[in-house]
Amino acid sequence: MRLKIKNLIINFGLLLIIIETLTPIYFMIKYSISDRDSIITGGDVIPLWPYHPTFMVYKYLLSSPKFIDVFLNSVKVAGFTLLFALMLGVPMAYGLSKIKSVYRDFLLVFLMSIRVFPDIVSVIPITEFFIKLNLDNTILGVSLAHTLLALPYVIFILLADFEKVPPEIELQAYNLGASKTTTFLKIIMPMVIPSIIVSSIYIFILSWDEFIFSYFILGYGEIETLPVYLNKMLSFQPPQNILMGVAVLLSLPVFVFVLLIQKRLLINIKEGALKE
Amino acid sequence: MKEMLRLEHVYKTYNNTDGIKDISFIVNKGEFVSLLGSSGCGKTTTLKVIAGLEKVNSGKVYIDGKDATNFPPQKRDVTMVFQNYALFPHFTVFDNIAFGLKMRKVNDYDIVKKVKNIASILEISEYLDRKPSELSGGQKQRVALARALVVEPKILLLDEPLSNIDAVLRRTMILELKSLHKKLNTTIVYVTHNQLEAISMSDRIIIMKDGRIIQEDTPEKIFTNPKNRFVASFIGEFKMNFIEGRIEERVGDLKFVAYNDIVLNLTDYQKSKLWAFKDKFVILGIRPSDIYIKHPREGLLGNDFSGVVDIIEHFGINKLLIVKIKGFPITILVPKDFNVSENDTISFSLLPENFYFFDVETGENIFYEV
Amino acid sequence: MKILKEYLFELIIIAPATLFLLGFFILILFYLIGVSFFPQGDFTLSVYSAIFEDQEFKRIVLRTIIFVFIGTPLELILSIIFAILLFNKGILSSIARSLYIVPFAIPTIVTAIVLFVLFDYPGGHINVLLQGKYFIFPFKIISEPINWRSSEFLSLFVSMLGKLWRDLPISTFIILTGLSNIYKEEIDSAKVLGAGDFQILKHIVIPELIPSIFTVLFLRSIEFWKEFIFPFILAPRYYLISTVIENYYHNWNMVDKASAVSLILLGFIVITIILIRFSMNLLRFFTFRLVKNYEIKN
Ligand SMILES: Nc1ncnc2c1ncn2[C@@H]1O[C@H](COP(=O)(O)OP(=O)(O)O)[C@@H](O)[C@H]1O
Ligand SMILES: [Mg+2]
Repeated sequence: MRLKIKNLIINFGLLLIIIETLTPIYFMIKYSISDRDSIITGGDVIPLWPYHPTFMVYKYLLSSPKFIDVFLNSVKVAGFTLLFALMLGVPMAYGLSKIKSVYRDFLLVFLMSIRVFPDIVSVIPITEFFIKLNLDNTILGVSLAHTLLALPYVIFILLADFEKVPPEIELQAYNLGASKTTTFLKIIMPMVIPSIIVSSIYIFILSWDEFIFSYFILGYGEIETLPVYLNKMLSFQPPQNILMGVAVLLSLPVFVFVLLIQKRLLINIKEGALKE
Repeated sequence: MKEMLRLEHVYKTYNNTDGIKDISFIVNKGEFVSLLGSSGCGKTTTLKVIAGLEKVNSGKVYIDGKDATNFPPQKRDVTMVFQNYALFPHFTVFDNIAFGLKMRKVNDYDIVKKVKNIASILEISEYLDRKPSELSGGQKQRVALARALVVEPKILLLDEPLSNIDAVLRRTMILELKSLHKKLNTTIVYVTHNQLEAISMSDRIIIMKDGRIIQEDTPEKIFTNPKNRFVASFIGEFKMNFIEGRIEERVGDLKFVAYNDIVLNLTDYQKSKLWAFKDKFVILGIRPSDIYIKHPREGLLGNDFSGVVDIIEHFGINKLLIVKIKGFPITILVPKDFNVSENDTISFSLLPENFYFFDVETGENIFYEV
Repeated sequence: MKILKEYLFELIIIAPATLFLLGFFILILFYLIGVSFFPQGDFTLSVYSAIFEDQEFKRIVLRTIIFVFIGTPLELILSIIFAILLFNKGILSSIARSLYIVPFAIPTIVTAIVLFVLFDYPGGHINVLLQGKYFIFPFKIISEPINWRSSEFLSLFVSMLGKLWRDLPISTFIILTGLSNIYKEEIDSAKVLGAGDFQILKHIVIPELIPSIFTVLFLRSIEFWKEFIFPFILAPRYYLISTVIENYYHNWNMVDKASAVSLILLGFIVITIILIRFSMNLLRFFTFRLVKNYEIKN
């Protein structure tokens, strides 16, 4: 009897967790497929499910030049960030994995400590600096800022993987006459491709989601990324279905990518939590 | 003798197959009973059912005369020592041992007295202030034992307590457990996969296989009267030799014939039962320790053979010879100082009174006495 | 020098990223110090004294402290409850576990805006729900719709909800990892020794979870100090330290004040890190005692 009550409470609690997790997503989708009457109800209760579900919003957004433009900006920023972060991060992680010295750990801790700065703290110096370099209001500027955010993660993920590569493999390559560069590019890099893919997804998501730096660096200029666009829309009080349509389209790539790497993500959270 | 534990047709299965099936046995007060079987045969599950940590699918568990089938673990007054000891890492040894008393709301004065007493019996008084992480395997095990004993449970369940410690320490612990049992007279159900532990400590042994009880008897009886081939091969320090052959009538006499060449005489008693198996296959078993090595000048004893020593393995005070007779290997146990080297030829005799016979199909001991 | 020769190749390939990170590190630190302490070239505390004399800023600091000190323990408690619920096996539990990842998969700004819409005034879903107008929840909690964004407490409460929704899975996951490090046999031992559910929780589970609990406290308190997007969208009228930085910068164009407040925020975070580290170390010397004041040696 007592056991029954206990089970009941547990299952009820679990149900609440599930509902709690899904509620925001449910309403986001619900709004995005709502027709006009389901939003502007003229004082009536707003329905939990649209009267006439429609994909009108998506049709509208995907044919709106402005939205396409913003979407492409986000893609460009994420693409450049990916390029920069990998170009800087992969050699860095490999180099660090080779250096067997206490100085390396100092360097690592020091470089990682840039993450102690909250985004809102580091954003002003960087924005002001970029204004001086005329990098404000440019896709390049935002990408560089995102690279700064992504780099510590990339190094963290890849370093662990490079360290797992048995040293004999490299020695064998040298032994057969390969140079250090060839060994790195032809032998070691291919061995860590899975981690590079995971890092790429990390970088992409980070850049795609990022709001604070994009918002400061792009200011109120011409160029917008999706998160900045979404924020700007808010001040014009748009119909909620359009707002949520943008939100869904912004979330979709992230959602797909996160599902792709969810196992790795959880492992990294665990390791990250232990390291902090 | 007072009955302390009784299991009646207990079933506890996982995924409908694994687990224990139709387990029934009785343990009397003060008795030391072992559950013996290889890994995965359901020993731990049986203990958990007794402790109330697993609910039975069907069947009854009686503890001290009361139907305890539906009692929660807290109400059973049965403690258990787990294979990995499961000490609480954040408590000192003292608090670990005190835990059960505290839960029973014993006052602190008595707790201190009892903990110290059990600690001195198990010789861990010096470590009371340490954390489990600062103890060796053997010490941890004593702490786990002390923690389970200090509450003076009706039944103490031990799950392979000696499996994680080295062989030398194991020997001493076997002796200590035995004397501890004598001293405290606790009712103990002991689980092991090591037949030596079971034989040297228990009043009775219950042999399990695939979730079922195969045989239940005293150590001596189990050794001399194994129910089937499985028990015979499981019990005994060195694995029994098994030879498959036919019971044949040769010149009016009943013989065991293997490989057409090896012909063995039988005792009259054996013959009387084996007539029924004439021209049928049976399995003959003989323990390595039961094979008689002959002096070079000793006369014929019947069933005499000579063979070449193929391999010698050393086991403490004994050594095991693998000898080929007519190309067929047979293991023979001899004392360490027995003078022999590989490729020597030795003579020995397979005395029929040491034979066991098993049914080819069922593996049952043909001469099993109920 | 030896290191230089030995690792020449390695040093060359780590140089670009090192310079990049180092450069920005120095840039950020020097810029913030320069602008806030040397606004006209000479050292002065005038920027800081102006900030600290501002009554509004004091309120902001207090508000942020309350935000952190309610949010962090709340998240900890919820994550422990969630973890204990999720620790049970079953269909619901595996569904809930597989949904863990969902909040990561939604951009923060999207979550904030969804909450913005849900907590709309007067006709947002939450207001309608609390008025008992949906058949799934026929309880009239409030009679008039609430304007969530016009109340200091409520707007920050909604921001906190957003933050919790997003971050609880990580915290729960950390606690759950700690839980699964407790041997099942320890719990079973406690049971056969007579401990009930509550005693097991008190004497075994919680003490053994302490390291995980500290990890959560550590990570989450920093998170709450830094949180920007949720209060920015959901409590635009009631600044926290993070959002007032944006306000100084964008609305008032006061780069010096924004920088000074940035350093102050950094200071709070560093102090928090040190405090939690310190108490973590203290705890290492602390032993859980079941039986107090016993003498081992007679
Ligand atoms: N909780 C469980 N869930 C599923 N199967 C289990 C569980 N516990 C034990 N089993 C299975 O039941 C059988 C008996 O296990 P156990 O009693 O632990 O064996 P033993 O202790 O003799 O090694 C094994 O096949 C094991 O895999
Ligand atoms: Mg077992």
